[in-house]
Amino acid sequence: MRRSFKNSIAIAQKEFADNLWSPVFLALLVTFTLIVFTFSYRNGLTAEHIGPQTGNTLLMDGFAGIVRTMGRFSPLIGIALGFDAVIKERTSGSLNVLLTHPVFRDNIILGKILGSMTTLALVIVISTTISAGMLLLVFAPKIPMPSR
Amino acid sequence: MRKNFENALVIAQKEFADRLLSPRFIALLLICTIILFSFSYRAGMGGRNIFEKGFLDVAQIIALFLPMIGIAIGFDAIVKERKLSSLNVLLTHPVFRDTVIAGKLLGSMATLALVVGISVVVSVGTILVVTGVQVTAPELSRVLIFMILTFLYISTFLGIGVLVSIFSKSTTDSLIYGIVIWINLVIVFSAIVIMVASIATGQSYLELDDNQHVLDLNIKLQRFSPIHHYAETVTGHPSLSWGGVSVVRGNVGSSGIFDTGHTLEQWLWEYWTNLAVLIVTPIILFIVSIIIFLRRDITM
Repeated sequence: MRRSFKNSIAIAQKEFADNLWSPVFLALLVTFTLIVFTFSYRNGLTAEHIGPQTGNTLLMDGFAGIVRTMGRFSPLIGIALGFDAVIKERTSGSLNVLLTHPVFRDNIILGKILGSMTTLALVIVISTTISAGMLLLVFAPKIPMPSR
Repeated sequence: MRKNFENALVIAQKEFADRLLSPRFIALLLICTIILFSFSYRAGMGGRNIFEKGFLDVAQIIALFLPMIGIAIGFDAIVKERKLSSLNVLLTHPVFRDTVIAGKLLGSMATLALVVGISVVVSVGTILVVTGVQVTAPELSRVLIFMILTFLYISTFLGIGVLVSIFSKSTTDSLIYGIVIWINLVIVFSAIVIMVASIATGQSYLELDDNQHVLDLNIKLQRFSPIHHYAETVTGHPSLSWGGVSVVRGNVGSSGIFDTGHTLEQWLWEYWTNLAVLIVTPIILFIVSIIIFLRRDITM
């Protein structure tokens, strides 16, 4: 049990590294970050313009708008990360070779899923951090806190 | 020369037949037609006349989503053949590389013409039937011009798809690059542009008395995307992307191709620069694809 989990981790690590350095993934990451950044900047501008509305801090109003953008575009990243996980190995014949080693099918799929999920987490963390940081840096000094 | 052209036609025919019968393509075409039909139906039920600014919603759907079809047609044109090694076999026959790529482009454009024809007939037809507007020859000629504009616009993305397909290592890479280009250049282009303009000028476009510079820069930057030129010629609005700022400034003349308040001559006079860009861009992309493909190492 312990052994096969280690194998899964090894496969996950390989998958993560593969994803991380492929130009396709980088293109997607840059696009997604750009989109989230763009829309949060717009939300920051809007929040600055309208002023406090809902009793929230304005910054939180700015963040709230990011949710919609994330909801629209993040499924694309998820699908793009997952869609060739298994079929790539199968068509290139490397799945057969992999199975001649002492790993089982469940280790392989588990490792693939773990690796892709780590990549996904990285994408979300990077894009959210950049946008949140931008909102804090650019708009926070200009925006008055609401009086409670 | 004659023989070469005949060969290209044979390849084009094969390409067209391959595309037309592939389930992937049929699925895309169906989805696209359903989306267009439902939006046109809604626009028609809204009771707005297509020849009096009733076409904006549907034009936006066409401008945003049809480029995806162009990319879907183009993305595996070359890379598929290279991957399957069928390109090598093909080149052992007495055809040349330029014949191959010319045939591919011709076949893809024929498919594209079919798609654009279906989409325009579905969207405009639905609106016309639902609202019951009377249509005469001048209006039909406008629909025809709209069809040609859409074809040119989607051809640009076909060109991008084929170009990416020449560079890519595998079909999946090619598709994802195509999608990335589509999202950046079409879906969120205006939003990115207004963000860049705001940062560059330091003005907020929401401050109505102090947004001169940011809006000027916004309009200038938007000219880099084909969707701006398509939007101008069809609707008269500078932008149809999501989240953009589309402010019509100065004295505007007609509002696009369906504005029957202005003659076609006035329309042409007003939008000839946009029209020129729409015509020239796909031609340049096709020429670049041909040149690059001729010099490319095709052994994998």
